[in-house]
Amino acid sequence: MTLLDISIRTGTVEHALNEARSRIQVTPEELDEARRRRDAIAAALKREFGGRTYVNGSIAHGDALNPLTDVDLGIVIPDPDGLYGPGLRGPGVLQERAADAIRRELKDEYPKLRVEHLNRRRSILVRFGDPVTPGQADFTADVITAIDNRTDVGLYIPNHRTWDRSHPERHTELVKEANAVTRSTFARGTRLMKHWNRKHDRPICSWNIKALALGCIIAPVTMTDYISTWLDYAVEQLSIGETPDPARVAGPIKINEKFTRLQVVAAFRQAKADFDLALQYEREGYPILALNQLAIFFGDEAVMPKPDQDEVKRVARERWREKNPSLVSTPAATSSTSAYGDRIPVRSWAC
Amino acid sequence: MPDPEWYGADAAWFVPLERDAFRLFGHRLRVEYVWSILRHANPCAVELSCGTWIGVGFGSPRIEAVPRRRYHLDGVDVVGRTERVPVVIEFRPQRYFPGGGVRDGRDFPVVYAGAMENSPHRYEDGALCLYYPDDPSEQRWTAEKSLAELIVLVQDHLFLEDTYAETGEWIAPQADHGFTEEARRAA
Repeated sequence: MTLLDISIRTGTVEHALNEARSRIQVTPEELDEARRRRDAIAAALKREFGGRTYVNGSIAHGDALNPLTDVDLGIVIPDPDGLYGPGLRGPGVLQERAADAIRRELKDEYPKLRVEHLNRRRSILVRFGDPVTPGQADFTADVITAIDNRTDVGLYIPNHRTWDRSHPERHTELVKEANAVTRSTFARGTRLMKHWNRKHDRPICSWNIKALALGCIIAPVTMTDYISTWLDYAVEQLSIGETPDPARVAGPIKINEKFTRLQVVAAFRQAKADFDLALQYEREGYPILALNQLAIFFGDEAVMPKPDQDEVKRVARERWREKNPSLVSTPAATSSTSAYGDRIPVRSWAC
Repeated sequence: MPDPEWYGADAAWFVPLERDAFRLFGHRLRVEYVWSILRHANPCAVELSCGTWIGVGFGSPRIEAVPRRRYHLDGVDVVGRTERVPVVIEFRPQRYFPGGGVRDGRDFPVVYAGAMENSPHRYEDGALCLYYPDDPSEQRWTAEKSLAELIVLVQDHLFLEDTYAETGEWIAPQADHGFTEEARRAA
């Protein structure tokens, strides 16, 4: 199928994916509260520095997951005398002023507020001491103090005591454009892949998921097609190298340092095999096996619960008998219960 | 130092074998290279003047270090089970089958996955009996195939065992136990 037209899927897998999506979706009330806090920080920073603020991260991109634990924003601080930048002054003083301004303006509303800016790589961390999602430990904000790049596109953002090139404003523009073009299916599918990522040791960061999606989700898609397309593309791209910055300003997006790139590719390749088997079960007319396989794919009982396992076994036996009717071994490969290929037509044995 | 004759230390052998499995399982699959220390009994006997031999006990055991190439997969999914089952696949220089002689270890790895007391297709030590050694190569796993294909057999084998436990029926082709088929054919 092409991605030019959204296909209509009403099958078991698509339905289950949409159900799962609703389980990880943030409520409008939580989003409103998160935005309110973000705007309060932005207002404090604008009063301190003037300049302009920008938003990025999951809330700005429309792909926030439940539980909602953080928000991202930045301020582009005017630097008319050109005092700051690579080879000039570092971001320390600006971060300290920003931290003081946030404390000063928000402490009355959030008495447990803590603002950390020392010994951090990029952002100021604002701990509200007051969660947005009930039951969570806290809600935080990552605040970037950026300056304009006077000679090229994008911004300079802190990297410890110096600066890195980046273009977070363009990133948000690209994601918003993708959401518009895909009729929000970009954001919906991204939520599902972010959740998968979260449940599989986070081999890549959320931004990497979206950067890859920008390269392959270019029209409205079903959730089934989002996941299939994204996994194929991720395997292909990460096999070549790290994901380039979609804005072509910063360096490639790093993967989780606990993994090698090829291990990350392997994780996605295995995920694709698991997902493909779910689709195969659906095509063969075994919806309960498709749901079971989808649960294996997600690895999260709360979001994609496994169906009754006794019934799964019964249907799996039925399918096995149908696909492998002979109890006499034949040279051709036979149908397997595995996601990883056909079965060599062996005869079980014992010495 | 690995024995230069030992195939398990030969990259030309193990790289093609394991490539697909590592491409698929990544960090979930690891390999270790170990030596098993075997202590062989060393019976002593003396020849009497009449020409007969009598045993006089055992001398110091003969100790032999045998290399193993062992793969650990942290778990495979088995349809109908909620938990993944860890798998260990061990290659030895040779494998002995009572009644079937010594076979090339490359084609007959020892595979452990889960446990089932009354499985009709496990060895005494719990290893899986995945295929009949004397079947033609296209009907058994051989080292020219990939480790990933062996793992597929393991997943199916565990599913077949679960089915057997519940229904008493082994729903896949199976060979007679032992090497009776060969004996019958030879007769």
